[in-house]
Amino acid sequence: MKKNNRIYLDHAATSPMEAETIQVVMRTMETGFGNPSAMYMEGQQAMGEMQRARESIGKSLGVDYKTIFFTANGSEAANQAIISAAYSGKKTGRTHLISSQIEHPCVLKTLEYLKEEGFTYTLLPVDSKGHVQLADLEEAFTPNTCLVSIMHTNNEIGSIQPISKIGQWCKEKKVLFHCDGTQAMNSSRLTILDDEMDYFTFSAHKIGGPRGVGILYKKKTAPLQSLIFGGMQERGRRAGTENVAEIVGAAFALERNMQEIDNQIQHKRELDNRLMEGLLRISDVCVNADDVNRAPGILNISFLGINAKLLVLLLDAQGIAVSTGSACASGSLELSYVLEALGCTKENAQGAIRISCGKENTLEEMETVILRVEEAIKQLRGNK
Amino acid sequence: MVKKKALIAMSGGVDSSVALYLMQQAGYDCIGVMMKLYESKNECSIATKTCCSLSDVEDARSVATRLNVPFYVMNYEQEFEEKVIRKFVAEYQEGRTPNPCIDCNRYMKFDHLFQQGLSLGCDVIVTGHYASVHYNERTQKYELAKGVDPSKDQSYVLYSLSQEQLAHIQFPLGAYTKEQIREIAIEHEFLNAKKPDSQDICFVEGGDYGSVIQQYTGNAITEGIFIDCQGNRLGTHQGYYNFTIGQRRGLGIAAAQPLYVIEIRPESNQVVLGQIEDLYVSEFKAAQVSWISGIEPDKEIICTVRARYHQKETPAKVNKAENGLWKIKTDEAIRAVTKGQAVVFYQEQQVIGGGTLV
Repeated sequence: MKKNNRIYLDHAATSPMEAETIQVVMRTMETGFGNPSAMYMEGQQAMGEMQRARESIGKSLGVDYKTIFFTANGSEAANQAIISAAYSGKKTGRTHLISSQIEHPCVLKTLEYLKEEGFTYTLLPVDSKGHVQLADLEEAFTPNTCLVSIMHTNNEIGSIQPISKIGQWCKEKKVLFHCDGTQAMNSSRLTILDDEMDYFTFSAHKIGGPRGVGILYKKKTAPLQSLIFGGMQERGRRAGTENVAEIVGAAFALERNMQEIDNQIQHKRELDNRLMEGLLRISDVCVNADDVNRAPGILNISFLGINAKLLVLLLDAQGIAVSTGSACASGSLELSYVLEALGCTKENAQGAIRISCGKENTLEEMETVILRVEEAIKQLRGNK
Repeated sequence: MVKKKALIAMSGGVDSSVALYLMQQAGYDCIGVMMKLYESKNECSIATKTCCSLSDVEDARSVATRLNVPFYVMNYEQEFEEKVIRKFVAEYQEGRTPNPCIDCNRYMKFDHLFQQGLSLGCDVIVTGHYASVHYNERTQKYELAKGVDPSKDQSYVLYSLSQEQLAHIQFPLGAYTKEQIREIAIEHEFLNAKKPDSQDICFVEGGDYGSVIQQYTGNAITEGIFIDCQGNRLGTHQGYYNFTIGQRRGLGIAAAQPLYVIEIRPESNQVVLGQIEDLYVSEFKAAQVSWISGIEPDKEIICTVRARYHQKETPAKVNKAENGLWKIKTDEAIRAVTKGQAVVFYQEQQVIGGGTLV
């Protein structure tokens, strides 16, 4: 997004759509305007477009298209997976769930909801690099555990969890496993292995697709109940007329993402490295959860003694878009619970911003960012 | 020429909304900031949990969007609790009746937000108060004056501003009446144009001071007694901190003459009741007195005073007393001078200073 010479560095919040993807969506709005449930040509056309999209997504993820379900967003997909697993477990008296302290609110709030419904849950701690330990999972496990839900890549700090190990462990224990992959698709080369997870959820808009499409992969044997009641869309698992054009756009964006992913990873690592090199020259600064096992394109940096919100505001005025923590939390206000879970000090958390590069960013832009951040920090520290 | 930058403290109400508009019209490069100060402690279930001021945030954002001005919500809940709510509670516990809006202006808007605005490179900090700031070339001092609308004048809550602060503050509403402000809002189709004025203290829901105090102190209700001026027992009450000087309602005591709270004795949990004439005094003292000019007067000040928000001004003489206190002697006795409230000194339209009644 190069409009008005702005530098957009919040791809973990959402990513711009490429012109081609927009065209795909617009074209489908014309060609696939019919209601997919209708018998006549227009309906068939729309259903056909959606079928092709579903197959394409299956192919991109390396799974059977019959395991793919569409929702309105990533949060809904995660809600549905967790709630389905919980109520399915309840039928056999298993009402305990396990997740981690640094999950996205769409997971944590669902667990809170389930608690009111009589379930219990345990949140695993993470180490200072933001990683869950298998030993903690083993300890938290009870015979009543029905689901483990762990995110692939953390949205605030970029830590990548040992998903494969966790998945295999769950399989051995015969516990359902949900992986929130919202931040994973554009920073890791990842295909879903039937062996390793029962649910995998993500949204299209983080990978250059349109808003309004959540994708839920469900292993054939995993339960899935409907949260929205009405018609028989999505095999009776989600009522409501399908968002055909954007689903087609999502499939297109995912396909492109998979083609480009290796280059993207390399490019974003270069940008991150340049940023770190430049920004770490500023005094009293540290990278949170800095680790080799961190997703490229999510860099969380603390400037001590700085109010991060003011820094974001100043950079915004300089044409640079970065955020404090996650977009979902920065309207609300408490210090980041993710940084707290890492053991960050309050001062550290107060001065933390997230810089999240995307494929369209350039090294040249990073030079501008380094310069502007230096100036802003100087200004904020000078006027204490 | 580079435009000057203004930070407008927005509340979602019509006043600060129009303040933003007026600054923009005056040629400033504006940003709107909403201070999130307090969130209702009444936790609801996850399904119904609502944010008490979300609707105010939306109102402010609606105006900022209409005027194409960047709008930010900043969280000051922690500072607000520390500097305003805790102090409010402590004052009530001491048997005083504080004015938390004054503290909010002093510590939140004109200290915290003020400093942050300056560090963001803003030239002026703007609020929707009905008052005005002028620079007097002759004295080379900034002056604080009342708003032209006598029914809305808010200079009372601003008496503690310093010269340094006034140099960077503007109150664009001072020259307008409330009616005119609403007209501007209607003319520009602000959706909050007809929003009622806020009345209550934001963190005291339903006017229940007692429960706020219990919530923050954790103290249980302790029954105390009402007495008259002679020390005769008149009845019982649910804690001295539920009362303020001059209060008549809610005492639950039957008497031939209406009874008023004339004194609060926190140490013995006693509330003294008396007749209306017992409420009138013409001599009292103030502490933490500050002067708009920044210079303490070295002789008697002849002025008018207000010892309560929106009270009629009374001519008075102000003199320095012992222990850093100031003595105020009014020409006529005034009603219900209450410890913890502010007394503000005026000369004509100007605020010259003020302090806290002790």
